[in-house]
Amino acid sequence: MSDLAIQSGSPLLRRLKRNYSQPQRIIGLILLLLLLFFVFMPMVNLLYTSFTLSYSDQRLPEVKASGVEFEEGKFSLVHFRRVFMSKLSKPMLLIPLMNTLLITAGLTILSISWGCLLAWLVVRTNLPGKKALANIAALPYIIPSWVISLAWINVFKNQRIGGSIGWFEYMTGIAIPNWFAYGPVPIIICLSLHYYAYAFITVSGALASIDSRLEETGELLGANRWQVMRKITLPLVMPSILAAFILTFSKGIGTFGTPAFLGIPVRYYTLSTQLYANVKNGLEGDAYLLAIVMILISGITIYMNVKVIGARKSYVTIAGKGFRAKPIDLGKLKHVVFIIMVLFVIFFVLFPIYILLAQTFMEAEGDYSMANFTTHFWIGEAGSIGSKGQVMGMGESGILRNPSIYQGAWNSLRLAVLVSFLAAVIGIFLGYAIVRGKGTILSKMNDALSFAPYIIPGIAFGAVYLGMFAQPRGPIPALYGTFSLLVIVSLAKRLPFSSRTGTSAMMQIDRELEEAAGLVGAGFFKKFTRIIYPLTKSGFVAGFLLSFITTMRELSLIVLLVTPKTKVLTTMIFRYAESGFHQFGDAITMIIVVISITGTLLIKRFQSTSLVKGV
Amino acid sequence: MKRRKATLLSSMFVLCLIISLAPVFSNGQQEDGRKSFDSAEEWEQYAGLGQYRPKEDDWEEIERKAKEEGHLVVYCNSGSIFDSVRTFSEEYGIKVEPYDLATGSLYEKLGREQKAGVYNCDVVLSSGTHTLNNEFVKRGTAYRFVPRYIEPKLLEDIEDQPLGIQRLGGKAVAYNSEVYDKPPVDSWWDLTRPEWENRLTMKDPMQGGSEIGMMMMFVRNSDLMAELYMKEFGEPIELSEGVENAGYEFVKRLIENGIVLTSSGTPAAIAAGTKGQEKPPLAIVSPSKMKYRETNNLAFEIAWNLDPVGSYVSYQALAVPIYAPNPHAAKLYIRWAYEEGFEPWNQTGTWPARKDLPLPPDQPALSDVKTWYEDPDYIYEHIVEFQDFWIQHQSN
Repeated sequence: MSDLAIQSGSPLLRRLKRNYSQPQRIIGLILLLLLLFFVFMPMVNLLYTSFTLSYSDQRLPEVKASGVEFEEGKFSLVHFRRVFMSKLSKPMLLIPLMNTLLITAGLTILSISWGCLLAWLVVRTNLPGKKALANIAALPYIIPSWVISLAWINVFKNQRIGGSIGWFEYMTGIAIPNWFAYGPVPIIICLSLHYYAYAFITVSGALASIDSRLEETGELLGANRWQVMRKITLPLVMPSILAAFILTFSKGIGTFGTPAFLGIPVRYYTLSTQLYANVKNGLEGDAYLLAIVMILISGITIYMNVKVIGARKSYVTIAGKGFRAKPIDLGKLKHVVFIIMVLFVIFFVLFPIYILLAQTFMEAEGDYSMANFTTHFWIGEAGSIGSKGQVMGMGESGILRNPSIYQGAWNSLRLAVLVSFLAAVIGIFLGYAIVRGKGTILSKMNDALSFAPYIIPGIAFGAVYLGMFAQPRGPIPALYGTFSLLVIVSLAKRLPFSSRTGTSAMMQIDRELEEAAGLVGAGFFKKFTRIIYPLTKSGFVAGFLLSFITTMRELSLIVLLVTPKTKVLTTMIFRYAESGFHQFGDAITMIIVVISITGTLLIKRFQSTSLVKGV
Repeated sequence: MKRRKATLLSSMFVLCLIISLAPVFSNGQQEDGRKSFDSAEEWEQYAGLGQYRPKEDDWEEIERKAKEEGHLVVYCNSGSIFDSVRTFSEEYGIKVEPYDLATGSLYEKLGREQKAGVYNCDVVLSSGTHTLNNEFVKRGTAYRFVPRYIEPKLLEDIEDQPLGIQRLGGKAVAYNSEVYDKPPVDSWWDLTRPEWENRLTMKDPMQGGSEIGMMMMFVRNSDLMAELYMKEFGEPIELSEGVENAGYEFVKRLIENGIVLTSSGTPAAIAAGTKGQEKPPLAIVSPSKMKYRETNNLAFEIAWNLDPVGSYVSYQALAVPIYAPNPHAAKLYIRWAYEEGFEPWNQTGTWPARKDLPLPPDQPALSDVKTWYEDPDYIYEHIVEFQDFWIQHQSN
């Protein structure tokens, strides 16, 4: 990258030298080049592919009808016409678009309000047992979101798709109506059960850092509790709610697994399931245009929200003095709330995990009797015979005896460690470049570009990388099939998150500290290791932990990029789930949960940080 | 104390980093199997494929070279591959890595890998022959290989297929034999009757799989479908606005009758076959799902005698992709897949491509069932038109 800069002429080189006292420029420039290559270029590529003909496009009816001789790689509006102005537009674009918007809106409202309420309860009130509740309530963050939908099907299945009835109808005899078993309602609920954890984690972190004396001051000045909440607490946590909103909304637009399992049976399609179908059917051009629509929606919505709410963000909440957070007394409600919380945790957090765990010990799915108990899916030998004379698990051994599971686990683990480490490092550098260079075009471009992957749906992002890096690009060799590609794509997708963490950490450090160090002769490296890193360490570790967990359970981003040699646990689960082998898949899910919890606990031992702060 | 903790933490990071980075920057040659053949011809010569395929297969030499290669990678769309390669590995001591991939992703991957110059795969065993034939074999990036001595033993019906077919699968209508003692329908048109509203289930044809090929055959045989409609309902079929023919009309009415789609075939089979239901649905599934009768305690039968067809017949084909790093092991495995290694697939619902093998129990002979054979070229050529039609009618 720096070669490029040197080649482009000595004036630039001179300016770089002149600005050596401002390392944020050099760092910013290097980062900008990387961002252009790994974020901007893929987006251009996405657009380019949508307007070119691929080999399999010669089968398109529009291409055949045009009578023009087919030429691979030629510019063409055919995909654009198909998606935006043909009889296909309504079923392929409009209906899925409406469904996606409905789901995302419902999901965002539900998970943000529930997450905030939960955060407030465990951080600011005297709810009994809140520490334990908080830790369990953060668990859904670790489980892949679509796994919850599999549990939902087990519990609320009705006659609609036939087969055995779900656990609920079996126990109560009450027939589940269709709208509750499949379609938008369960999709929203299942997704919310996962995504509330985002709002919960971010908002509880923000609430924990509020000095309760700010609120007490309000009360002293005669404000009632509602006014304090509205005028003091809410504005203070608004930036974190906004962050949670952005995250939830953009994730909702691109989410794939849950709408696939709960929507397809009733032919309820979203943009993501339609995109996936288009990719599977070889209609890449159409698929990429849908991806562009998804990017535009998230982009516009987030932009509007930042304009409306974000304009008055940024309060200095760290006063530098010790502060205390006086818990709010819930009074008589305390026990009622406690019971509700316990019920929530049992039914919506622990129960789905229990269902999955129980499933791994069942010879035939859904049969809870002891006669059906088997340990084959964990420790069985390949080719063992089941109780009804069948070859268990299609001749595959239990996962603990299966070397390819260990390979997948190892890949997952090293991917997660590598990505979270690099993401945290890049995050600090990005934060440094953005904050210290505030106001410059370089800083703004870095800020915007590092944010862009936020709004690109995971599956589309994966598809773009697949298209881009299957061939050598510039100095980069063909990366498809290599582990590096997984690292790069995961890293790029984590950029928005790490740059936010880095930026907010960096904002807390007054540049006077750096200048002081500079006066006593410290170089950039020394400043960085002795001042910046120690001061941002807790943000660094927290960022590391979040990235670690997210990468461990990431599916849609890498599902198209993984090759047999580089497979990870989640892609193995998905393959098992797709082919109806839930026991193996559920067992691997359990392994992910165990690895994630172990990772969290390990880090907690060394650094007093956890998913939920301030409890 | 604090310092020590920090040191410990950072050394842990560094350790993790080194361990994780090592494979990233290590020489990729070995790991991803890039081979140094200068040209396709050179590889063909080494592999004895394409124009260098000898008139007679020298199995002793193939076995010797295969053992030298010592390794084999199979991309397959069926879980039974694990059982098949396990016995192969025991027999020849060749280390096999089988990969169970969904049909769509299998070709997507193979194509992407070839484009990137990554050659992992030695044998493909999968359905979706329209893709395999048109995007690989015809373009010279995968090779047909059927042992010479097997060729005359293959079914006459598939003799002129350009691919090496290992077995034939189906798509047929399954019903619950606990509720119905004989098939409750005798024609595909019955499935559009109000009686079966919301009571027909199958894998979503848009999710990649042979369901779409089956559906397309109704369009291809639209005249027959019109004729049959007349016979079934006593009046000529009235096509809806914008619908081309009786085949498409059938598909449209099937969807409008509330077809329930699943993300894979197994849930559909289980939905139809689970015992203790009052009004079980019918399922359009592969007859090979009959294996779940034992494992999942299903009451599950196939309605083999429907009009106009009892079963759509699709192909599972074998091929060797270009630059396969272990082509001799690939050949040896392909022979195995026609012999002992066929055993895991030798189950009800499957027809072996070899006519000299006995049929699995309960499996009707192909000659006793009215069938439509998969037509890879027709499917490849017209699949987008069909997809467009389906997408326009899929939403409620």
